[in-house]
Amino acid sequence: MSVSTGISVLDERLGGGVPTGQSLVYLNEPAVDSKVFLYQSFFAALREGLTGLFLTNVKPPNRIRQDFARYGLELDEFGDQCAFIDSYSGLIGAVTDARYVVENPHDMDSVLTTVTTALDENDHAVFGLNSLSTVVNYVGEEAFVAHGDRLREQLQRPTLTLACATDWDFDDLRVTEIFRSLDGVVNLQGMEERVVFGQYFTVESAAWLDRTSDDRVMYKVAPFKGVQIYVPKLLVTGPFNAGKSTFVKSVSTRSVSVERMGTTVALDHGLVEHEGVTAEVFGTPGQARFDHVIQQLARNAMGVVLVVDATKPDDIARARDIIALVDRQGLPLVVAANKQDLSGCMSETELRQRLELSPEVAIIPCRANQSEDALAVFQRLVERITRREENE
Amino acid sequence: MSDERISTGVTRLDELMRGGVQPHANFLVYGPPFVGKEVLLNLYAVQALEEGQPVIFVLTDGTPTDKAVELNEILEVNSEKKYSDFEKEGLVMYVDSYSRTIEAEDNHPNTVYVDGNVNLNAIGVAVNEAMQRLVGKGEFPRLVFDSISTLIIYSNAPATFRFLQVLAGRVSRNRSTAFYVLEKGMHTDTEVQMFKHLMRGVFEFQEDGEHLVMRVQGGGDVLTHDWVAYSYTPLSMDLTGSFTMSRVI
Repeated sequence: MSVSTGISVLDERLGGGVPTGQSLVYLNEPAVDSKVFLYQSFFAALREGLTGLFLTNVKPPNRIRQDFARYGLELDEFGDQCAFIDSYSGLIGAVTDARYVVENPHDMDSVLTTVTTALDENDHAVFGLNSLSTVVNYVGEEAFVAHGDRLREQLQRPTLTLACATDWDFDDLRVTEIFRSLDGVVNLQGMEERVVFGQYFTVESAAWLDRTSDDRVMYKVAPFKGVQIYVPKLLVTGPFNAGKSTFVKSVSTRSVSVERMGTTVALDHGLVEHEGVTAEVFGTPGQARFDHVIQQLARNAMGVVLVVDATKPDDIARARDIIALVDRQGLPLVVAANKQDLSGCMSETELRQRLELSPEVAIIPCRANQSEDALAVFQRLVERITRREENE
Repeated sequence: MSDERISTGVTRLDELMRGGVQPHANFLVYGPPFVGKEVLLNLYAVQALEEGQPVIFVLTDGTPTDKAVELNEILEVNSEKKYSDFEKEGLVMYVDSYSRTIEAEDNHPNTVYVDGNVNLNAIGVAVNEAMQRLVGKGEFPRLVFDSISTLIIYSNAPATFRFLQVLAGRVSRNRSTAFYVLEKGMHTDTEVQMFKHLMRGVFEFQEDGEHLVMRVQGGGDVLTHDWVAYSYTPLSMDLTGSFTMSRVI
């Protein structure tokens, strides 16, 4: 039997949920939040009738209840079916009404002893942990690693174990190896330019599946609704007549265009589905008077493709203005150097110099009317924002 | 780019640093309690706001309301603008990991609340959210982090270091300039060294007998790295000691 994670798009990628007897960790990068994934999955398991044990070491149990409620998950409806293991209040000497209390959260033995007792007393349990990495923060890497086997043993006992952890840059690599030794690992990562402006998840491993998909599923977290699948926008912009509409048509699986006399006056729109990433594509008009459209579309955008006609040095000034506009919004950018099938194209070096582009921005020679070229540009942008090239 | 400097809000400190601190970098404000570290932070923030640049305060031991009162007092003395004007313009964001730990009100505008000081990733998520909300406002966003010491007390030095390593990187990627407070006398020398290594420069404060002295470590090309006498009130700070101009060409 499999238990739903409470997130249907994740269930699909886990083969219907998490089978009983298994453990799963939501492993987030720093500055990405995984608690809502944990809350939804834990709540879904309570709904299946499992007994809930929730270990918190980041805030008091009553705050955790409020947190659940913020996402429309009322723990109160389960009454005694759900109990807390409080590994927080002991730190600050606060009183707690939790059923299980870790006396000294800085001591790994104290944590494990309390967990063992709680698991002894509760059959058919879903064991939730928020969070594994905070355990390391309290007890230190050395003690955590030294007790690794004992911890793993406990995590295998419940009907279902669900944890979240931050993948900090630990000195001892064995720390994350312990995190990753759970049966299933879901990575939560940030799309980043100046700041993390979006998130996506991937299934890194699931012991119960023959193979896992390497889809990067972009999502947003909304109050009351929790984890929502999110289709990001991609802006295609550039000087007049650079080939933006053509690019949108070529890159899209489906597209429409609003045109007048062959020039885009409002926008082109398409949907790309490529290599497990889905995005909406918006082609903006090229004239400066439409700059507000770019700014408006930039909200929630995942990135920008600047299409330039590589045979027209006169268009470069306008392209530079657009780059400045995009830069202020903190959006990732790639440049598609279009019309490579014509003669007299500027070289990449020349373009970079004229556009005054920093070295980390890719310039990709392309023919916008060729799907493979347009998709290569798309792919490059996705890689840039999901692989985190250092640009310091 | 390498010549670009950002004012610290203290005129003679700017002179000492040939214009101020480098943008897109992290600085430590290090010293014992009651020597005016917070005055430097406040002046630095006020200076930014008056230049139309956004400021993020990360508060681990105080509320946004307290901070607003302090900054308003400074502005009342030497500006036509009120602090609340800047708040209304959306130039100020707070990350507050303090109010909820003392069950204080959590409804100050432009504030991202965090449930406490132990959840380092939650603080990181909140700072990112504050930065995201300010993207596009001003070229040189500032960040004031008060304090690292509190985080170390709640967790420990290695955990705080891992957290700060990520944050310092994000600060430069976001083209911000950040000042972080570290209390002298609360941490071992090794720990302090560790944190200094993450920084472009350090402002170190000290009591020297009857005098207060400060020095700048790192910070690029500065007039002197020697100790210089200073004085402060809650509303102002001045370097009173002399520093040689002989090296100025």
